Amino acid sequence: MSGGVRAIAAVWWLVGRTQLSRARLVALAAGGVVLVALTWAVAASGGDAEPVLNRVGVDLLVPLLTLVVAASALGDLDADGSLVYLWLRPVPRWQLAVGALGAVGTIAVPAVMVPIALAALVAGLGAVSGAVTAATGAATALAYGAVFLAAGLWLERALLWGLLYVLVWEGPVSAASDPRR
Amino acid sequence: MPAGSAVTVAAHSVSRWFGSVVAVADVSVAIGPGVTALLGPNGAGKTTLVRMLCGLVRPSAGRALVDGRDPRRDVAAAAMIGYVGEPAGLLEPLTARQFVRSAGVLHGLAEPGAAAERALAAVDLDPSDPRPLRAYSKGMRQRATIAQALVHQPAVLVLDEPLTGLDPAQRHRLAGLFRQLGDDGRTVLVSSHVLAEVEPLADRLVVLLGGRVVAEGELAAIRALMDDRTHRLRVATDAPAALAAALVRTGQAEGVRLIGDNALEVETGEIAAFRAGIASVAASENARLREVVPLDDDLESVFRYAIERGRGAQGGAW
Repeated sequence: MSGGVRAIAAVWWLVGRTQLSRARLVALAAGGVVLVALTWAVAASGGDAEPVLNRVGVDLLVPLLTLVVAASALGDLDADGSLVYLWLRPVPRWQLAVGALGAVGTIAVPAVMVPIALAALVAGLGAVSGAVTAATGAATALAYGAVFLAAGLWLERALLWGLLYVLVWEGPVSAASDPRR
Repeated sequence: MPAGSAVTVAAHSVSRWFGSVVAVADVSVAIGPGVTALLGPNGAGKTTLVRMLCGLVRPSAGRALVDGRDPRRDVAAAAMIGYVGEPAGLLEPLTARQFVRSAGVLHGLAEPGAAAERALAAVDLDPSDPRPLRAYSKGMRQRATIAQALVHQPAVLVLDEPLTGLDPAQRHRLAGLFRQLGDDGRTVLVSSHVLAEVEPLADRLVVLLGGRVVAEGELAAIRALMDDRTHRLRVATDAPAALAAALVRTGQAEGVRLIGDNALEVETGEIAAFRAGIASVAASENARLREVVPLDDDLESVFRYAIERGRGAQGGAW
C-alpha cells in the first residue's frame, strides 16, 4: 500500500471512529425510521407516496443526516483541539480531506440509502426506480458531505447554519421554486 | 532513541492578532538543540507562539520557520515536529496503541506498530492495554499524547504545558525523558506557566509577557541581567548578631534581619562582592559560617524579575 493510501486510510479510520457515538447513530437511525414510517402511512392510506419519498427523503433527510455526520467530522475535532493530531503530520491536505470525506461517506451513505430503499419498497416503486432513488440519495449525500465537511472547519456553529440552510433553502424555498409544482 | 540532527525553530518578527486582540507582538526568537523553556503567565501568548512555530496558526505578520522551512507549506518541516498540545478528547475512544500507531502511519513509518510500542514504553504505558484512552487517568492520557509526539523520533519536540495533570513521580520521569531528548541533540521547546516544572529541564529561557519576549537567554545570562537588583540570602551562623553588625559596618549588606538564634537574612546589592567577602568578615568576628543560601536565585525570581521588567518597559518606566 502506498504512503498516500495508508495516510488516507488512517484518516478515514480516525475520523470515522470519532463519529461513531451512540447519540449520532440513534439520530441517524431515527431519521430513517421517520422516513419509512411516513412513506408507509401515506401508501397505506392509498395516497401517492413517491412525492413523500422525494421531498422528505431526498430533499430533506439526505442533507439533514449528512449534516449530522459531516459538520462534526472535522469541526468537532477542531473545536476540541484534537485536529492538530491529524493536521500536524507530513500528509498533504488533500489526503486528509479525502480520508475525512471517506469517513463521512462510510457513515452517511448507508444511513440514507437504507431508509430510502426501504421507503421506495414501501411506496411500491419498482426495483429499478427504488435503486435509482437510493443511488441519487447516496450521491447527494457525498456532495453534501464535502460541503458540510468544509463548513464544519470554516464556520462556527456549522450544524446550526447547516440546519438553517436545509430547513429554509432545501425546504420551502426550493419547493416554492420547483417548476414541477 | 537516536540523536536528532540539529534543527532550529525560529520566529522572525512574528505577530498574531485575533480581531483587535494582539496575542503575539513582533517576536523574534531562535530555538536550537537542547531544552528551551517558554515561560509566561496565562494569556501571555505562549500557546499562540508555539502554534505558529509548528505551523498550526498562520502569523498575521512575520515568518515562523522550522529548519528554514515554513511548516504550513512544507510537509518535510512538519515531519520534523512532534507536538503535544491539548489532550485529544475526541480521539479518546481509541486505545493508546491505536492513537500512537495512527500517528506513526501518518508519519509514513515503515513499522508504525513497533514504533508505537517503543514510544509508549518510553512514557511508561503498556502498549497491550486494551482500555480506550477515555478510561485512563488524566496523567496517562497526557503520557499517551506525549508518546504520539515521540513515535517518529522527531528532531523538534514542541510541548505545550506537557506536565499539567501529572503526579510528581510522573513529572519527574518525563522531565528526565525531555532532558535526555535535549541532551541527544533534539530541539525541545517546553511551554509552561509553572516554573517549578521547567526549572530542572531548561538550558535556556524565553519569557513571554503580553505577547512580547521580555527576557531570553541562558539561565545564567538572565541572572546576570539581574545584578542591579537587591539579592536576599540566608546566612546560618553561631554568632548572627555580631556578623550582622559587621556586614552592615563593612558595607557588605544593605540590610540584615535576625532569624532566631542561628541565622540572619541579608540584603545586598553587590552579590559578587558579598560572596567574596563574607568569609573574611565572619572570620574577623570569630563567627562560624554554616551555610549561605540565596533566597531569590531560583527560576521563580528570574521569572518575577523579567515580568516586572517587562511591565516596566510596557508602561514606559524604562
